[in-house]
Amino acid sequence: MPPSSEPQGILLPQTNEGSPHLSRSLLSPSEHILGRWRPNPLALLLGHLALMVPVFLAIDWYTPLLYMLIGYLVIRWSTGLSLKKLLRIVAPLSFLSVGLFLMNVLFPAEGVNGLHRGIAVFLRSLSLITLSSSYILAINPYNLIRSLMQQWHLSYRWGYALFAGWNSIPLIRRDLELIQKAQDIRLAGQPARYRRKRLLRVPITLLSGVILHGERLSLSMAARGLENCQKRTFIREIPWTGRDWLYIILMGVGSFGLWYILIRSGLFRFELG
Amino acid sequence: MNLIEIKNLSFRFPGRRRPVLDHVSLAIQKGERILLFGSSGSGKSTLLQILAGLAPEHTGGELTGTRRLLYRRRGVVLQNPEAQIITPTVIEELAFPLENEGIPPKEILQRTEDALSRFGMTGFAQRHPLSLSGGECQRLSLACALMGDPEVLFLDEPTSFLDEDRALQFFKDLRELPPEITIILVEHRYELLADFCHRWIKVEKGKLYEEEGPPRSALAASTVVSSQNSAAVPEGPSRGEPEVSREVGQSLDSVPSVHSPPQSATPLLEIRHLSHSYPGAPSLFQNLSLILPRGTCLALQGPSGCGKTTVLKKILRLLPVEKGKIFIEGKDGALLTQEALYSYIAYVPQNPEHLFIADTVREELHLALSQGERNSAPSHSRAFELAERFSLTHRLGTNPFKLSEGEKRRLTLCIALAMGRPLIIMDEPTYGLDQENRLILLELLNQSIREQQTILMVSHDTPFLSRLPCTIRTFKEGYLW
Repeated sequence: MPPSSEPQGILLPQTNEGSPHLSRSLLSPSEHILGRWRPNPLALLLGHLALMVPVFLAIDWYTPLLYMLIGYLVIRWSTGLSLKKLLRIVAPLSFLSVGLFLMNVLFPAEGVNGLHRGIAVFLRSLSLITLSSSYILAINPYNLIRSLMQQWHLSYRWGYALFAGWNSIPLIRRDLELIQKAQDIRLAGQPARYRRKRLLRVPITLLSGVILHGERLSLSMAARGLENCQKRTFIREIPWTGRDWLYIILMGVGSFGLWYILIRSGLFRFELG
Repeated sequence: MNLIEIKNLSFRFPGRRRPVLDHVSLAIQKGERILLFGSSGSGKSTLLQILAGLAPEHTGGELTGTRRLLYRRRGVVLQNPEAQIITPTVIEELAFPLENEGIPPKEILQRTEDALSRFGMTGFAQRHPLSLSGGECQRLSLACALMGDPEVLFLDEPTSFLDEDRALQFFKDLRELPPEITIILVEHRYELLADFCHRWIKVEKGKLYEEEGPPRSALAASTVVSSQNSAAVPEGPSRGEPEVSREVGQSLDSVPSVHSPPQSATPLLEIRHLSHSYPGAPSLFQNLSLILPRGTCLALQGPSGCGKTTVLKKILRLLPVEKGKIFIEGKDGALLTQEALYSYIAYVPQNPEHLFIADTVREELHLALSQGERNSAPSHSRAFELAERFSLTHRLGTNPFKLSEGEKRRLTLCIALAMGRPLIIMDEPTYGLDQENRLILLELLNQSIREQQTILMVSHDTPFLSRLPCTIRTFKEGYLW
């Protein structure tokens, strides 16, 4: 008989053998990469937004390239995000940039060099995609939500609804597969009109499941006292330290300072329309 | 002194004319252990939610009458463990109710570590709760409910996702809780509750009836039957050719006895040396072989993640399958078109809504009927006969999504049985069914087997299975016993 690896009882004898390192790791969750300090997700967000503002307004070639490079280096330094991981998500999204490039080349505005403008638009959109993707890949979404609740006072209800929503993504994917299979099996040998109906029914069934799951989660949260709590505590705190202030100040000064230099040197170009 | 008191209480869901509960009264004292029972959709869970202070506050609806809840701390365990998971780690899940009370983190950590140790979950502390098995997940839900030292514990079908051993253990552990904790529970598996409850309250047609003793469980004797049969489990794991079927069926008086079906030369379903491993994980099972002749029933059991659902997924082509592994009527399943393969199968998923296609129950049944005709079902009106037997005829004009959970489950069973396909694959078919409907299903499955339909199911409901002419095989650590 193979030995059972699972504990047999639910209520095992109470012992004092807690894991002391567990408490420490949960009470001081500040994460470090290669011994470096890691910024608070909100500080990282503000820093990245500071980089995105000049790119958003630029219509030249240099600004997007420069800010994309700086953005990646900062993320690489502060979170250890690898270039390979970043490229894996940026590469498919860059088709959007290619589309914008082609649109400008094939249908240029009057009096505008289509190729020149196309490259500028391509670089701008690629830079925005890279900056936002690098942020998304660099942060832990749960830590971002914790920060939003702890630092920016996002309502606990919304915060934990986001937690639950994030948890539900793999469940939704699993349900979608099961729904499609269950309906394929049911409709095997049926006329085509039923198959067409299925196309509409799958999203409805999925949505119904998501709503039901949401209702149950909401009840579960209420049953555990989330609805009535005014000021809750967190065993996992995402600290905001002086270094985070320093980080956003440096990022802001650096980003806007560089922007100023680019404007003064005539490399930055901005056009309306 | 009463801990909970309701007088002349009525409750109606939004948009419904008839109240779920109609002028009911109940008083509950400290330390009482109360079972709420009744048929599916009778309002047991709603009553539980009202007593827990969750309805109508968090569910909507109109409540009239008097309700006095004199407890300060409560713990709630709901039906579906997956739908109770909020945070990304087990330790945070345990800490969640304490954090909501504003308890200092250091004290919370001490208490969560104690709970982890007490519930045998220290090794799971940093795991994502959704990566736990159903039993572990429900154990976590109970641990969460007990974290805040509740005066009252509300349990809504807490053993739905547990096999019989785990469910018995669950109740054994509940018995070990301090006697001053009041426990109010809804549970269909009465056979698990022997001597646990002090009071038995039947919820029926909006009224409450206090019963003298536990409800008579039509499947109660089966626990004994299954434990007797367990001695017949072979000592060693099965690999390669299947072992001789272990017949555990024993008919109820009301269920016609089932005779051994004539075995045709080609089995309906045959699995030969099937193996599976997920990327980066050790082999889930290896060299698994099964033969299901027409008119037989096989139930797969085992802890979550052991491979039973993976076998179903392979048959249903949710996972890729190599040539020469799965045969339907002697034809290699990997070489059949999807359409051809699926024309042999009727599938009852765990979530009944996954099967619904039409806008009304009537249309759903019509659709099943036309399939039944194509597959030479014995009677054209079988789906409607089934609907009558499952008490669904009064809901023919209703949208399937608007049925109660029990009704949805019954409808999927109606559809699957009416389709008349040779192989019925069921994933936990008795989940959410009350005793009466379990008995009806039992009778219908017996009838299907007599009509040479083959049934393959995943089910933890051993008492139910023990009443079917069914072979039970259990996955344990990559072996099929």
